[in-house]
This record gives sequence, C-alpha cells and structure tokens, in this order.
Amino acid sequence: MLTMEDVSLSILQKPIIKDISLRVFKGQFVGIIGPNGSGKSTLLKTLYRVLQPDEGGVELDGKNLYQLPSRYVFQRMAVVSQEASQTFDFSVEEMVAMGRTPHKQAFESDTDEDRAIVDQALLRVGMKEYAERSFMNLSGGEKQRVLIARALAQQAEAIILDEPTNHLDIRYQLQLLELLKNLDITVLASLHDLNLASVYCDYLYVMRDGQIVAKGTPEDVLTCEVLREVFRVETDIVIHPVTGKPHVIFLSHS
Amino acid sequence: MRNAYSMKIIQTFRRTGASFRMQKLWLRLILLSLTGILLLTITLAVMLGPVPISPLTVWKIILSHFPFMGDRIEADWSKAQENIIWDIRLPRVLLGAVVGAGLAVVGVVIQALVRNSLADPYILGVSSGASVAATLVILFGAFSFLGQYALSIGAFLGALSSIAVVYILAQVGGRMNATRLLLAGVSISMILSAVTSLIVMMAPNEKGIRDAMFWMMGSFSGARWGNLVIPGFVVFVGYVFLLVRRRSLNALLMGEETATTLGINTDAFRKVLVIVLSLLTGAMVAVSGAIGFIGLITPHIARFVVGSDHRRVLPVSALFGAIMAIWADVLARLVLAPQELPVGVVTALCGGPFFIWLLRRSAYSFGGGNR
Repeated sequence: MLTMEDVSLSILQKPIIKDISLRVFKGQFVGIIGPNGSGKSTLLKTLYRVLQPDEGGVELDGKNLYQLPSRYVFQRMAVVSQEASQTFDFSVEEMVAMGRTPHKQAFESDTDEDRAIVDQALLRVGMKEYAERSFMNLSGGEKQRVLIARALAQQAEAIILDEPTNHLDIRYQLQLLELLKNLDITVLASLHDLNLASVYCDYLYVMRDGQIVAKGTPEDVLTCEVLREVFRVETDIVIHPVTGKPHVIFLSHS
Repeated sequence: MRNAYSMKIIQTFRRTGASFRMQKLWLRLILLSLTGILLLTITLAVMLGPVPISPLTVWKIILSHFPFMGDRIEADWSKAQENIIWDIRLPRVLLGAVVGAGLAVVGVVIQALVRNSLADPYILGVSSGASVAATLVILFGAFSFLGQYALSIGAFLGALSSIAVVYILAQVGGRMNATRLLLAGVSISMILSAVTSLIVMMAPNEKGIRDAMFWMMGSFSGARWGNLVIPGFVVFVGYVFLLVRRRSLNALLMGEETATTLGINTDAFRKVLVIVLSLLTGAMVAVSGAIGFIGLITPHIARFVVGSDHRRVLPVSALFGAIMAIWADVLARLVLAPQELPVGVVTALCGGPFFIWLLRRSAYSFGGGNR
C-alpha cells in the first residue's frame, strides 16, 4: 500500500537519501535497519510528508502521496516519530483522543463513537487503567504504548515508527514489538536491534549512506557479508532453535 | 481467581469509561460557577465607587436598557445614578471583562503557538509597536486629524506594523518557525521600547510624560459604549475561531512533526494564528494600553484547574481573565481614590505573588517537563 520509487532528497545540497525504492504491502511488518546517519529517519519523513523528495514518487494505495489531502493521508497512515518534546501535559486519554484529529471537521464535537474508539485503543495497548494519568509522568515504555494507542485511534491501516524501541529497557522493547506484531496492521519501523528486527520483521531493508544496499526476508538479509559491509562488524549468524530466525552474534571490529 | 480478575476488569472499565463523562460534568460545573462569579463581579464592580449604589438599582438600571424590558421596570432611581451606572461604570467594567477575557485567550494560544510557557500576548511585539505610536500621539499630537480616536487608531496601527515586521522576519524560505518567531518578536520589542523611551525623553512637558507612562501601564478609564463595540466584537469572533480550531491547537502543542502527521497544515495554521492573535491584541491594546500579566498567568491557572486541552482551557481562561481584570480595575480605582492607578500596576502587584504561589506548588509543571 506504500511505495517509493527512485526517491532522492538533498538537504542544503547534501544528498541524504538516493534512489530509494521501497514497497510495503498490506499487513506486512517491514523493518529498516542501518547504522546511525544512514538516512533511515529521512526516508521515513519523506513517507509521512514532513520532507518532500526532490525526485521520485511516493504513493499511498497507488495515489501520489503529495497530491492527496493531508486529512485523507493521515486517516490511513499514523506516525510515531522520535519527536519527544512535550510542552504542556495532557492526560493519557487526551493524548489518544488527538488521534481523532484527522477524522474530525472543525465544527464537529467529539461523539460517543470517538470515545469508544479511544477506549478501544487504550484497551488494545493495555493502557486502559492509565487513562486519567498524566502523560509526562509515564515511563518511556508506557509513553510509547500511548503513542501507539493514538495511532490506533487514528484508525490507520499503517503505522510508521521511527526507532520506537529507543531508550527502552529490553523488556519494554519486546513488549512493544510484540504489541505491534499482534495488532494486525501494516507496520513500517526503523529499528536498531538486529536480532529483534530478525524476529519480528517479515521483510527488511538495509540502508547505508542514504541508499538501500540489501532487502529481503531476515534470512536473506542478515548475513555475515551484508553486516560486514554495512555495519563494519564481524559476526557469526546462527539460526536460533527457539525462534527459528537468524540470530546475530557480534565478534569484533573488522 | 478468574472471577476476581474479570471483576477487576469490569470495575476498571466502568471507572475509566466514566472519565469522559466526569470530565464533562466537571467542566460544566467550573464554567457555571465562573459565570456566576463573573456576574457577581460585574454587579459588585458597578456598585463600588465614590457614590455607593445598591445591587438592586444596578440591575434595574441595566435591565431597563434591554429591549422589551424598559417599560416593565419602574424607574425609581435618579438621573445621576443612571448616568453613573449606565454611562460611566458599566462600560468600564465591561471593557475590563472583554479585555481580560481577550488577553487570557490570546495568552493561551500564543503559548501554544510558540510552545513556550513564558510567552504572553505582547511577546510578538504588539504592545511595543502600539506604545511607540501612542507616545507619539500623547506627547507630540500625532494623528491629530483623527480627533478623539487618534490614540486608539494610532496604537492599533503601531501594533499591526510591528507585528508585520516580526511576521516577515520569522519566515525563512516561506516557512515560519516557532523559535524564530519568538526571537524576532523579542528583538523587535526591544528595539521599539528603546524608541519609546527616546520619544518619552524628548517629550516637551512633564504631564505628557505621566500620561504616556499611564497609558503604557494600561487603563480602562477611557471606556465608553462607543469604544467598547469594536474590541468586544473582535474578541468574540476571535474566541469563537480559536475554539473551533481547538483540535489543531492541541496538536500544535505536540510539536510540528506530530501536528503534521495528525493532518494539520502547521505552517498555514501558524500564519493564520499570528494574524488572528495580532488583530485581537491590537484591538485590545488600542483601547486599554498594554496591561501586563493577565495574559501570562491566566492560561496557567486555567491549565492548573482543567488540564491542557484547549476545549476546556479556552473558556475557563476567558472567564478567569475577565474576572481578574475587573477586580484589578476596581482596586486601581479605589485604592488611592480619587487618584487612579494604572491597572497594569495592580495586575502585576497582585498577580505576581499569586503566580509565585502557584509556581511553588509541584502539581503543575508549567510546561517544563516532569514536575
């Protein structure tokens, strides 16, 4: 449902991403991996319209993303970005209710249906009991779950997440990815942890220096050669007996 | 075991399912009591003064001016009383209410616009532009061809020209950035207040200087029915517009990127906001001078009471602002009577300590992160 075709973008004459082609199908869990500064965030930003590509096309359900009305786009696509700065405090419930924004006309008031949707979203991420708590005082993992609930309240078919597991304890990382996996919607996320990416993603794109250098299932992509080239590390890769997925063991610098 | 677990789920569900309704009830209760307090405040403020008048007479006189009511009320008051109430005190109290409410609403929105809890309605340079023009009018008789409206119109034009400069400076590559907007506002304010000081320094007479100072601190003493209509209308329309855009305002507090991904055209919305807020503030400064503090503290008081959602913050701040401005003006009139204080002095002297008290309480974060 989301496609990028030969997309390039430069910021201040410096090319950040080059000739990116990417395809996310309905219901897939797609991961983007790559070292710091490889252009993952920029790629995602062009997908959610914060940055406009210089060349190439981005399409949502076969239509040019940049010609669709913004409300239309964000009724179908929700974003959990890295932007964490909070000015004023909101309750968890209010945060999630903001997900209704693209669905509402200016003069419309919140209906019982909106409230039910918000309730349902909180329930799905297991934050129902936190509805009246202040968002600011939540832990990092709880905040991420609330933001995912907001995306759910947006009733989007796809969620884009920019390093959602950053700054989270391993338990919360697993919890979060488990949650996303079980939500039964399309997910596109940039991830740091290769082993988590291997377990949870159906398809992986590997980025380096603004380009996609490898793509495919975790089994295809997570190989010693690719990781050496992209991350400059020596690895040993085994198929883990429990997960049945490739597991990366880091050896040393090359 | 299983039963206890499901009971807990049901309980939780009930409790939180009720929260939206509870919030609604709570908001209604607050709005109702604030409206009551506002009406009481207006009554008391009209009663208080060198000539004491009973509350009954106050309302009879007011109601007798309503269409269809005039004939039914027996006129048992003197012409002088009617003059004092209807022509002098009531317009002044109402102007206080309008400006207080307007400043509070502008304060709320400007803090959302620049995402900074220190912002007040004058931070974009509106008041400094108005001050330059006002001091020119008061001290050097500029715009004298406009007669009695020279001060108001001059101040309004001054306000709009300074904001126009800030607006242009804050744009880079056609986009407006919140920090740039804030800094442009602050620097233009500094330059213009220096210009104001210069004008005051070169003033030909002492009395003019005191008048100019008085104007800059703000006052409702110029209130008449005639100059109440425009600010009243502007504040009302502005308030309705902002309330309609409450969801966009909430989203704006989440930051540029998040607001965009909630379907809001942040750049266009910011620009519209700057224009609306400047018109609002300009219209208020033109009739009452630059009254400080109300626009800074009422948004925080309102958020302290009802949280950050603009659906609740906007009406609550408007009512708080109106009440505070009226009482500040009552004090300004009465404390040193027959001498009158600038109302800005009162708002700062009374509002400051209150704000500090609020600051010392930990339950509200003032937009500074955790606690």
